[in-house]
Amino acid sequence: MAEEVNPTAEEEECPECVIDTEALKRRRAEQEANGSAGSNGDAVLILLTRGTYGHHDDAFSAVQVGNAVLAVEQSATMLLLDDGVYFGVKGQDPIDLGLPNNIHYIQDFLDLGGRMLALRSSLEKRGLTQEDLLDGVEVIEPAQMVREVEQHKASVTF
Amino acid sequence: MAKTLTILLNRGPYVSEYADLAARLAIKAKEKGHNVNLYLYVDGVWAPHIKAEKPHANVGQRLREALEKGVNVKICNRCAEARDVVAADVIDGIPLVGLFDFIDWIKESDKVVTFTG
Repeated sequence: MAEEVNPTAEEEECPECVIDTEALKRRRAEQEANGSAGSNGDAVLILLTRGTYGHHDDAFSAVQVGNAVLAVEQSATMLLLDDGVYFGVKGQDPIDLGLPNNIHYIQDFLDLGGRMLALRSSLEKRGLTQEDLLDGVEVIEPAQMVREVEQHKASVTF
Repeated sequence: MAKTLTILLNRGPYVSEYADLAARLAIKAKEKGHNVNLYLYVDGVWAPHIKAEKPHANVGQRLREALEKGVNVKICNRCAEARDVVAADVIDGIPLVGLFDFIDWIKESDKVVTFTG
């Protein structure tokens, strides 16, 4: 019996309600073991234009949408552009600034099969390269960005 | 034929026009016969916190009009809790719900529009 990972509103009433990615990982592992893994193909594109920290909680909220989409068996793509490219940088740790670290939510998104894309021109303007990014983040050109928008059922922007 | 529009609002009132524009879009789309959902996320949860009458048009007034016309409006409960916004603080008829309600709305929508920035 697959573990329930789609909580009700009542179950989510907690101070730091976030998607239960550990339960989702266990269920994905079960699905892969019995050959039932896969998405229903309704893909959602999440565009992130804000840096990881210091802009409300946009980046955190964006990856929560991504993990929630993955939790209901849809596929999700996060497209990082403008300051959003900082979201994909490896080794980020804002603890000394008194801010929580989003890195494990980002890694969860990647581990659960989410695609993460970063726009090359935005990286270059900030002195970043592929080597600065987490493993699994794909660098893309503007033309592919247009294709991604076309290929997804819906997009949301942060 | 009626289509389904879901609007994601990430910003609160007064800091920009987005909250007001999102509510106005919801009302107009509903008036044209479409099914309309409005999900209040991140700082969007402050919009239904405007409850009292004002001497000028305000987003709370527009949200009440949207509800009266049949727009579905929901608030992200995690975002609300982070801001100490509770059910008693907001306009009646707008439930605090989990993120999966928004994901369900995306799945059933023909169009999804975000107001952020």
